[in-house]
Amino acid sequence: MTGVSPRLTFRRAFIGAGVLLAIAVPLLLFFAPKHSASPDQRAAGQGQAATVPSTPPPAAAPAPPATKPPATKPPAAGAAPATTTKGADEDPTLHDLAARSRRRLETTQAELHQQFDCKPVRKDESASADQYPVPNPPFTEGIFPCTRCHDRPDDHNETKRTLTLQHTDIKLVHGPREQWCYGCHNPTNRDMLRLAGGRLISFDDSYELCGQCHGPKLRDWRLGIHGRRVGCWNGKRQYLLCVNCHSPHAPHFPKLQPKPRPKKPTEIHARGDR
Amino acid sequence: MSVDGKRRLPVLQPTPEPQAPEGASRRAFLKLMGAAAATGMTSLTACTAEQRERFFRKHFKELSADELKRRLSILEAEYEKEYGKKFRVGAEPPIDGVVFAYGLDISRCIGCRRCVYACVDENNQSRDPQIHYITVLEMEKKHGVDLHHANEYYEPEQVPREGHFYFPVACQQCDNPPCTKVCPVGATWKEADGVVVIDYDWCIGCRYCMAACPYGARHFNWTSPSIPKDELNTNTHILGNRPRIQGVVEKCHFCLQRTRNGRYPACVEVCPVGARKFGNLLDPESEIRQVIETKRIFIFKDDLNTHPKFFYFYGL
Repeated sequence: MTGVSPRLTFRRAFIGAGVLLAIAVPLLLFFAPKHSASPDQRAAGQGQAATVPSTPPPAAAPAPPATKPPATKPPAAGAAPATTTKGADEDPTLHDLAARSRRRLETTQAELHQQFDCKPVRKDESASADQYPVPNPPFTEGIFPCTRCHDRPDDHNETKRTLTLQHTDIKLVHGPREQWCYGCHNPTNRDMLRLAGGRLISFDDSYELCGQCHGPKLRDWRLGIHGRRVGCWNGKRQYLLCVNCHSPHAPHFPKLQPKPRPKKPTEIHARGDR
Repeated sequence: MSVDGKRRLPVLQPTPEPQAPEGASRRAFLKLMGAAAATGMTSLTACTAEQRERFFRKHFKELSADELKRRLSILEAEYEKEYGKKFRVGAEPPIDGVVFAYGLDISRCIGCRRCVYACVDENNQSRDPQIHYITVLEMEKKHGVDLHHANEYYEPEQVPREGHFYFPVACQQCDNPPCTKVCPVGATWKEADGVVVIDYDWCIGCRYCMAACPYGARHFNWTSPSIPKDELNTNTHILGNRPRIQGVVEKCHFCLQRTRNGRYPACVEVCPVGARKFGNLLDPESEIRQVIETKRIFIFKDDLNTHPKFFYFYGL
């Protein structure tokens, strides 16, 4: 190519250099300040966010909405003893047995956002003394100890009848028809429950009493198959007493109102198109 | 070289129309290049380090520890800016010796849909348009598990309804997942603990996985998700419930932000009748193993060879 003039070669070299420069300079600029600049910019970004006036200081756990009153006590073990049942006396519907059973079933937002320290447990630890850690039984406020009223051990009436003075909210819908209070409650010391064999147990161990008839359920409950689970799958298993979910006097679950159904495809519109 | 100074290749016929002079076209080209370079330079220098990082980002699995850390802090800053709340974006890896599995007691479920909405709250799903990971099907007892007699739009006053049972369906976390095989970009995969996850930054929104999933478990963000700011869950996981963007697919991920820290998924905790079980498939004493060993198990669409890690069972 003798026809190519030196001027043209120079021009080509010039263009080549120009193109190279055009590619290289932005790349250099892009890579060079990346690490040094990013922390500043991050700080700047946070500063902007911090100036947003409506930003509340973030709590460790999202605060539960105040709309739901605390129902019965939160069923997780280790929670404070029956302090949250206060709402029970204020709320008249709680004397309605069905409503009370329904309350037992509903989980509050606070329970869902409870903090747990989930540490895997070693096998020897899990086999230690308190094998079935359960929360306190969900007594109606002020009803326990029973001996505060039932203070005479020899005073009990074994005939089945409709109660008119006290405990009128209890309708026994459980077990065979001849079932009466003393099938489970101990007639002499009312603060205890009585097994069929005559052994007395505390209300905290009531699952043993239930297991007398519901053996397979008790077995499943011990294995963790039966019952609601809250807390840690790898930590110490949290148990609930049977009576935390089932009313002992009317154990069948009440029906619930379902949450709203999903939208049908025909109800879906583009935003701003309605 | 022709006489008039225009360059022509000898094999070609002379062009019928007069060409622009050589210098002019080259000058135009140079101008264009210059302009392009200037635009590129200004746009690249004007954008922030975060934007640059986002543009040149890597696949989640290729991130080094440092890069992942930086990515998380960038996401946290981004969410704080957008939502005015402090977020925790975690990236807890799978736990050694743990494979998650799920059990659902069909004999107990009463179809109250508490799980559906607990899931929505926990996992920052779009409220409008609506995305639900869990679909509760109402089926007739006389037909058994039969999708021809299933209704997800039931709305009686009270549940359970006479003669019906309820069958919630969510991602089955298949051991042989069809959805991950069809992804053209590898944006979804099965983690070591068996959870099928999605890299929302890598998803191109082609929805092949939705077509491949036989359980209808994957959902697409047709618009950018709308979540009321006070209902945002700020405890998030990068492969889990961090706020999504428009045009990506999402699905149940066993509440990674909870389960990889030892907690039960939200749906397990909210279930009022205790129909939902969760645990480590490799631990012989876990609840899920007890369920599998002692109860009658039903596997949904067993014949498709997907090997779900979601076990329906009859507890009664």
